[in-house]
Amino acid sequence: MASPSRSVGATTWPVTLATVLVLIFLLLPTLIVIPVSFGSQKYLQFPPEQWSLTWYRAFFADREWLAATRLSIMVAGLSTILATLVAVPATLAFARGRLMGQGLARALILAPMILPHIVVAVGMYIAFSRWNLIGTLPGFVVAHAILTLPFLFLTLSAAISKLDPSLELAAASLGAGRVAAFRYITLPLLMPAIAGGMAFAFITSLDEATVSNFLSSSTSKTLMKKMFEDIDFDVSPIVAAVSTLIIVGSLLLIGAAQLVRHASQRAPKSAATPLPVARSAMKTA
Amino acid sequence: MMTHEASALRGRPAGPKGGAVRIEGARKVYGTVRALDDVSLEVAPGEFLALLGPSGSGKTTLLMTVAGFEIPDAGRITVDGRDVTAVPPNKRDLGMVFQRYALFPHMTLRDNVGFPLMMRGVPAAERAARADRVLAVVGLEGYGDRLPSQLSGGQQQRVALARAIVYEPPVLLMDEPLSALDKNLREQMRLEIKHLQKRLGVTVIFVTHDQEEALVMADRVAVLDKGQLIQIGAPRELYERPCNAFVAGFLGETNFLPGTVAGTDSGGLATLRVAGGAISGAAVAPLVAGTDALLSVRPEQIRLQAGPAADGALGGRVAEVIYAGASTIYLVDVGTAAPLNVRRASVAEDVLAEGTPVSVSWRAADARVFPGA
Repeated sequence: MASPSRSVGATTWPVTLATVLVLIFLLLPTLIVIPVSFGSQKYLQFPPEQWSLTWYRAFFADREWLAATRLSIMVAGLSTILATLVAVPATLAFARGRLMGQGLARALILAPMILPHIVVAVGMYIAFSRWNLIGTLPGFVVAHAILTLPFLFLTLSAAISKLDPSLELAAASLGAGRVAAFRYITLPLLMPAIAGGMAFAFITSLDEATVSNFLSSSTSKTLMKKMFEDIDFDVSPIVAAVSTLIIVGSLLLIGAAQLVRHASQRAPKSAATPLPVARSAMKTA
Repeated sequence: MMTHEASALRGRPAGPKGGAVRIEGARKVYGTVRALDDVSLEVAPGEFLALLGPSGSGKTTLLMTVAGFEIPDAGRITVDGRDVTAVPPNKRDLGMVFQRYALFPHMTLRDNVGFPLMMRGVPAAERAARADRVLAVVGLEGYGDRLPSQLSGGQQQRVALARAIVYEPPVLLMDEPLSALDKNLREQMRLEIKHLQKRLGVTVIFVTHDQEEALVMADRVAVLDKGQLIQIGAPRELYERPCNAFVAGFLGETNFLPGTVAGTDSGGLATLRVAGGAISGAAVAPLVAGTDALLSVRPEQIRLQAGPAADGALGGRVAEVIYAGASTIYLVDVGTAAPLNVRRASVAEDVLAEGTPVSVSWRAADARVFPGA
């Protein structure tokens, strides 16, 4: 493995250069918010004339911003857990079992990823207002779990398809029942994919604005909803500060998922799949 | 390699160790394919049985029904008298070695081998000790802390074997365990597995499509084709007295000579009329004079003599001489569609040059005559 990648790096420097340029093109607009967030003026300024932490202080002093942040993190965490609890058994059942209507079920699970979010949002708004779930934690959690499920489902499906089915047969022949085989063999081997999928789901939930916009109430709103409101009303550099915090948080999360992957690299044949490109992590600015 | 005393493996007193397996009328149909078509056989305690057949013969399906991964549509499977036909695999207490070993990649060798003990509630310390002991038995002493990915194919094979015998199952099932190894290692492992099996006294059912492997390793070989058990017997019996043309052709090399039945004698020998004269062999079934039949004779059973055809022999001409080290193969044209394949020990002073006229004969008892063409 080492020698081909070395020769690629050595012989095709134009490709490397092009890659770097594309990355700069993709990242630069996002990264501009970082210096902007450290300005001291009351408007967005690049480059800032003076450096300060004014807008970070403002953010951490504002109860409304903090409440929105807390709600977003809670929703992201709980919806990720809920979606994982659904996705793991569902993907296993799809991969190992012979289910009736499997194609239809798969289409329904993936639908929220394919449909425009605004369509999903309107539908959820109508249904959730009837059930009094608007502006409630359970409402946000259920909605975001539905939205993040496709990402977990796809990541885990890819990982399970790479898992050697004879490992589970071997476990059974050695005396392990289904539960023990799952606990000691399947789950540990899927752990890197689960960690990656969960990180991705968490970020997707945190980043979600359209559905959150519909489900938010005046007293209970997510961070994205609050940012959009703020941009509409006064465009303070707090938005840049929040964006910077989200970028840093997302990178830490992806890094943590990579650490889980590396920890299981001891076992190279495990079902580690590449982390899906975290498109939403960089989209916020 | 497996030099360590296998008795270290066994905590319980000596006695009957291997289990008896009995398969009665097993049937399994997938769609329109009969994977198992009324297969019945018995495996004695401590016996090494090879299931041999081409792909699609049902040999793996049969093993899987014994393992519990397939439930037969009809029939019964018992181990030591206990009906296990519908018992799930994890409750059968059998050992199994898979084709690609199926070692758990995230566990050390010690944990891999200790896994079945953990499933049986053996405490951790005893587990580790027993796993290390069995790793030593298969020649991997001191490898307990390694991961499967750090081992060669042959070593992984040994771990899979260790993991399957550590809990002392009465029966060990092996699904083409040597097919992923290269030739030299495969030949070495054949004998190692056989010796280990002898020392442990465990009953083995071994699936293979490699006829040489089956002949070398097994006490008895069961030949399957299209879901049916064709013949079961000791390797020598199968090789020397195949019951039909399929077995004769599948086990080792043979020459087929089609002809017309001229007659049979009271000793069970049949004479066939062929293009170049008359040939005879032992009839495996009653033959009707005038009908088509097929004679099978092994390359090493055929005698060649320079000169014109002797009485009761076929006349031919050496078409090609192929030197293969210990033996030399002569392709002899006797007027049939394909030349006869004759194998003789390579003796320097007795070389027949290409083009030499020869007399081709064999002992009638060494050839087999099957009805049909």
